Amino acid sequence: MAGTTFPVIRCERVVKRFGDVVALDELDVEVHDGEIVGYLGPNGAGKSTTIRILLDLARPDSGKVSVLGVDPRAGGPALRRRIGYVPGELRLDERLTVEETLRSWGRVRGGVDQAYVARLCERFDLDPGRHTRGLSSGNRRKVGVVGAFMSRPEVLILDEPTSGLDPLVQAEFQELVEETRDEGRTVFLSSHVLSEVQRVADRVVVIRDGRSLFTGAVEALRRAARQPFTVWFSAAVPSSEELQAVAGVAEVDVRGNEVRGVVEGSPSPLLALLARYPVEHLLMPEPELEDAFLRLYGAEASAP
Amino acid sequence: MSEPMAELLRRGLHALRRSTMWWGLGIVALTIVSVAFWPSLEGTKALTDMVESSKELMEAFGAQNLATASGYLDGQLYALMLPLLLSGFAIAVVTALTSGDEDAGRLELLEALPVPRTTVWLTRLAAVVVGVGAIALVTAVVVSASISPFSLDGVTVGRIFVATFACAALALFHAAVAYAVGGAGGSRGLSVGTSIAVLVAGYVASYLLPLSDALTGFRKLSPWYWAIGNQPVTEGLPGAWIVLLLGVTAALVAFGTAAVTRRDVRSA
Repeated sequence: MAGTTFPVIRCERVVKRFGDVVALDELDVEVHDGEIVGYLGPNGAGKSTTIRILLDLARPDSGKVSVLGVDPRAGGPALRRRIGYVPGELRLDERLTVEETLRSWGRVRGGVDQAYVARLCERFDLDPGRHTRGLSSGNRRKVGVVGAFMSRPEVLILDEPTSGLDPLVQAEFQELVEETRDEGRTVFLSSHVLSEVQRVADRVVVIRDGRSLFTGAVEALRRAARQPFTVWFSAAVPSSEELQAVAGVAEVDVRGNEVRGVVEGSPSPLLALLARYPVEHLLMPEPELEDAFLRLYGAEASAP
Repeated sequence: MSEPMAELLRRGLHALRRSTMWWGLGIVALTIVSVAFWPSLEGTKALTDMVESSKELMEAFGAQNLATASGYLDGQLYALMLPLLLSGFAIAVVTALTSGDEDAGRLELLEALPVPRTTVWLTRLAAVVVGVGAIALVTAVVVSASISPFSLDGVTVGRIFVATFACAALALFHAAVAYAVGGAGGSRGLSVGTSIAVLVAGYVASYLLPLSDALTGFRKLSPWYWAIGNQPVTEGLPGAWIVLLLGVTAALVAFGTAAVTRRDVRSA
């Protein structure tokens, strides 16, 4: 159980350059034993680069990295045996079926319980007999997830594991991740979508331009995120003043029968107002992650 | 061999199955057609006239001596076609399995598994050695079996096996060039380009430059000469030069294997 605070993953002032581009700029990340940590940031923030360094697929230019207390390069295969990994871009050998792929990884890994693999496939509704060639991106991702979890490793490092998965499968994935945590194992998963992470993660680390901006509970980030909304009315439209008077509502823009704006905190007061008007259609998309941490860190985050 | 190594080798061989079969069929078909024509060409004036009328051109293809069965085999197969085709096959498959798979992002997941990166690369090279060896073996058997039906007089089975495996060694040398470039981080395009350039330069040094007496010495710089000399079936191999070829090949493999551990794996 998550009694200790042993850092399972630790990056200290890690710098990684690709030519002139600074991918990681003195990045600090810490993940403790038995935690589920979401690693959030927009595309190109350096999430995959960090994860590839943890797996020793890339080498940092400076800074200290450790996984389970060991430098990934020094740890080599022995360390990687204790890690399950899903890459962001999963390219499978298209000559094999799902089952052959998983068996092959299992043989290279050693000590994989085939009955457990079969159970995982069943959980994710993954047909082992199918050829990997024709798989949808969602199904390919499932193969990656099963491959990462099948050896019951101590640490799971998952790069965008849920992108492309339908909501039902995401729920199954969430359950699997929580079981893993409850067994005292550690999960580090990246995403560029807040909603995918907020249900699963105990904590989040937010990065942008290769620097960590925020580390803390998901809820803090969630509260800072403003929810955009668009409402279409069939007849009478509330006035701009009326909308702006509602607690938490800002950036109101009324155009004919269409109203746009954002709401901070609970949407209840807004919904109470809307209920008095003939709403034809209401759209509330995913809050912008960028907006959330820009607001959390305001000037500091936008400084160069 | 450990289980992970055996599995990686099996995957490499599995990936080569088709290409080895097709290249093998092509090479064997060319071999059969070549030897099958010998009985009808033997002793005809057409061949000797051709050599006489354009001696330099024929020499450039290693076909300066078409009057005997051994010279015919050299000119048709062993001096140029077989080393060229085997090298082409070796370059194509080694780059597909190493730099090509890395370009496509297929190595990343394997190299994140609990095996050393060098094992992933070396088992893939080993699969190529098996593929080249298999084609060479079948070719040598086919030519040896043709000696009596197609009256290849004066040709011995021993010579055929030595010459064929010398061609295979040359192919593996070029595979090692491609492997070294890929190991150092070169893309598939760069690995193929470099090894083809070495292949062509070696041909030029071994066959074209010696057409001028002053430039004959350059032959000694050519991996082609190290492997097969000039007329491998007629004259046999040029002694200890094959040791140099194997040594340079081993050094290239060692370099590529060391280099691959010192760099980032390219992401797709």
